[in-house]
Amino acid sequence: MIRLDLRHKAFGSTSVLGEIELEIKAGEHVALLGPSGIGKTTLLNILTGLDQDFDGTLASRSRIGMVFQEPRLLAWRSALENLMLVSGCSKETALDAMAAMGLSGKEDNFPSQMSLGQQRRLSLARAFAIEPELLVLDEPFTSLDHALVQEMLELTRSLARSRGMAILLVTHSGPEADFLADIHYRLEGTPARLRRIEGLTDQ
Amino acid sequence: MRGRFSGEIFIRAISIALILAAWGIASAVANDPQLLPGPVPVARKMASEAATGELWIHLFATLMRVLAAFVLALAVGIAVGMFMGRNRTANSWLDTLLVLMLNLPALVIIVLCYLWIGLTEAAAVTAVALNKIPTVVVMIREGARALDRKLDEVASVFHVPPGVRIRHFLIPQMAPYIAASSRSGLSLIWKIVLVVEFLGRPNGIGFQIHLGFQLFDVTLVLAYALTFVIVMLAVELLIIQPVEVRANRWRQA
Repeated sequence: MIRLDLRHKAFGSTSVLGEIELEIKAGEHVALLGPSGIGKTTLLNILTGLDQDFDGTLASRSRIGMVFQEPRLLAWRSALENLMLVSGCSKETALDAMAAMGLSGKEDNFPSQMSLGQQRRLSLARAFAIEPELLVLDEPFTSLDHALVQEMLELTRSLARSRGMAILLVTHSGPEADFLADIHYRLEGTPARLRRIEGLTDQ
Repeated sequence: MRGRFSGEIFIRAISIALILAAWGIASAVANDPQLLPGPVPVARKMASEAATGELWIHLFATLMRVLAAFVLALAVGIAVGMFMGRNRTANSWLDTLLVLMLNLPALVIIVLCYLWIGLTEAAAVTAVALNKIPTVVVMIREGARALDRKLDEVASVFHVPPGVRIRHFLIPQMAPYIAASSRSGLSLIWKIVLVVEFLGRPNGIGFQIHLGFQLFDVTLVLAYALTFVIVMLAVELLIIQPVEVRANRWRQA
């Protein structure tokens, strides 16, 4: 579904990523772990096609829905318009996606009228609304309280399973990775490389 | 909200009345109707010019020039400003020219346009637009630099079509800058249009003011100038302000 053969990625003279091979097949749930600043977001930008300035090849034919670290909503459009304009989905799909995230009744609110937790759920609803084959999550649960994180994790897992979509979760929380993903990779070293790790992670 | 609104109208009405009263007193003290006519003779002159139809002909000619120059200046200014704001190499190449144009006196541009293009309508509109374009470019460039690149990434990942990107991502972010350059543009443009008409057009408010100047007819000069000020005030109150309120609705939410 998506396959990356990366030989090298550098910013100017600074090498960030070394040789990396990563393949995600349909329905697979993959977690990418590693400390801050190691290059997780850089790798994600390459995988999603945002960064094309790298040495290597990317084969991707899948529709990608992405949840960024911050909600990244259009502040000047209502919640419902945010979903429909960005994902291009119908009103029914958008309403369904909002309902699935517990955001019914918030359709006409501007993002500034919603709490951070609601904005993050809206950003997750937006990613689901395009009915992606691959759902990419870039540390989407940081700075949320524990109960809300658990709620969002469960929502994400059940929706992804019921629709058979693949997941790529970037996080530095071991428990999040364990909950959502079956395959775990760790990004480490300079320049960073991928290492597959097993089960419960300590970080 | 309604109470505040009517309160503001009241204050505005009083301030207009005070200006008119001060003008009337100054004219009475000067006691020279040729040098400083009061508000009543000027209003009477406006009415008589309107009755003969002269006022409308010149007003229309000037308004058309303002509109043409405004549209041209904004279209070119927005395109160049966006380009310079988004592209660092383009900015390095064009910045010197921009500084040169910003510092070229309006009169020089007008005279050169008339000399090079001839005493034509095209020369007049070009001269006015060329005076305004650099200031639009400066403002729009600031706006383009302030665009949120993170939203660009959202649009790229989700493959948002170009039309939606322009209408819902780009324009709302640029709106305050476009509104600011429109507003300052309109007042600058109509002042320059008058100079252009003064120097080389056979009609328009500026032409009539030239006539008043040659005949030492201060009443005529004031009658035409005030008519246009009133029209521009109406444009501000009836078009620009309502559009701004609508574009900024989300900020108050």
